[in-house]
Amino acid sequence: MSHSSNIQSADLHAVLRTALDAVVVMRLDGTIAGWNEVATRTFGWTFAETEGRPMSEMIIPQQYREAHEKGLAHYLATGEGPVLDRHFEISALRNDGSEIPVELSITPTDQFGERVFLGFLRDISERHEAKRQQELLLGELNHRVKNMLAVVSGIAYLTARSATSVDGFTRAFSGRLEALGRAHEILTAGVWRSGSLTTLAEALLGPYSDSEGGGASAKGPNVMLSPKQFLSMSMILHELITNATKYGALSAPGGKVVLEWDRVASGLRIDWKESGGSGVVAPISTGFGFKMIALSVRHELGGTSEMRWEDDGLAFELHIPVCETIEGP
Amino acid sequence: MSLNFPAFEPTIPAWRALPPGPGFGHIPHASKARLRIMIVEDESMVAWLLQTALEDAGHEIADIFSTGEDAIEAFARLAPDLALLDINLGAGIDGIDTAVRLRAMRAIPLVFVSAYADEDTRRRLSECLGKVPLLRKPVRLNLLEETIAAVAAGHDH
Repeated sequence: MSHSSNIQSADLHAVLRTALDAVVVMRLDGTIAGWNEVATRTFGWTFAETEGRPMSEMIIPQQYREAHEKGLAHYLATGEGPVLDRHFEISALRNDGSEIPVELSITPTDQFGERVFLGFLRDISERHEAKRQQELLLGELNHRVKNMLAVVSGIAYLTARSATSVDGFTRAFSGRLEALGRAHEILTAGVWRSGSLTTLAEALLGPYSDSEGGGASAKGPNVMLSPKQFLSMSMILHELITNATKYGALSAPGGKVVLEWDRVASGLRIDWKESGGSGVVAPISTGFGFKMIALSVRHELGGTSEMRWEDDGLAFELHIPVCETIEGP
Repeated sequence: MSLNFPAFEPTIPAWRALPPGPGFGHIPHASKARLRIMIVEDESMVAWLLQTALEDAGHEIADIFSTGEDAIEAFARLAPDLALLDINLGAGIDGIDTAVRLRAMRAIPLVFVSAYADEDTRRRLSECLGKVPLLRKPVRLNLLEETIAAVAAGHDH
């Protein structure tokens, strides 16, 4: 129900009743003469509590009260008011003492029987919160991009150190960036909360699968990894696949790679097993790939790993602590 | 093979006004010295890059830590000449708090490399540690080497 005191105007009642914004009617002496239901919801006061009281005490924060009084006096003396008849943003006071951002417009009018000010106030807390969230996201994005550029710098520098030719560098560097890009795509699809190991395995091993039983295959429960774990795993799997295609099981006809994982008491166990490759030998163990795997396992996954060269190919076993593992649906 | 790294402008070195002296972890006559450096960085690829670049520059890496807690625990044993730290270390205490605790044990020259190089971070860094260099990620490696040499020597370069 909308209220206005003494001012007898059906038009004003209609305005108060139908307005979607909070409407506050103020007399020239600064007291409140009208107040609608939206104002009650917005500021917490009922009309009965505000009627006849100075508006500056009800909804104007302390820091703006002096300016409000001066502005009103200036208007009464000159008929001019720089804040009149336009929209501006300011904070307003609620009855619990909290302040909310509002968009305010003030219009002086004589159409309701006496000169009054009509104040339309719109609570823009949600708009402000959305803007704050956007700024936070932009800041976070900025940090992530810089961090990623630092990682890419590292990959470039270290790939160059182990490359023996420009072509070799280009291929290795592009492949690593592509793996990183794919991992980012999957994480972005999951809003960077987590990434599915199954999805990652399918993305990286899929191109090497073979319907006749050879090639690469992956099997395991749906395990979700944190973004950091996921990025590390993507690089580790990329290096294992690259090694397998260049030197390991996937470099020979009939060779197989099986990637399996399962939850264990201590967390997650991941097994990479190559077999069936002919004439497979251990590669240089100090190359970029193997060093990066060892560093990622220790430094980022906080896990342990073992790499063995068995008769029929490479076997790699990885354990990740349970505290870092997020259960999937 | 040489590579051109992303040509980002470096942070204005706040350490330029660093007064020399033992209280700031000054290493006399060390600008060309082989330093023993502790790295605190949670991104393994970046840590590896820093390690490799600094080893190429003739320094020794005491060890690499992904958390501040582990770095603090090992600090006395490793006795590094300088600590190179990231600020955001994921879980646990951050690089600034780590450095405060390291300095509480011994005055040691510090260099920060971080993506968090905004004004708030700089203010906090200055309030907690005085004037220490903060290089933006991705860092140019020659700037990193120059900064480390200058900080270790306790003078501008």
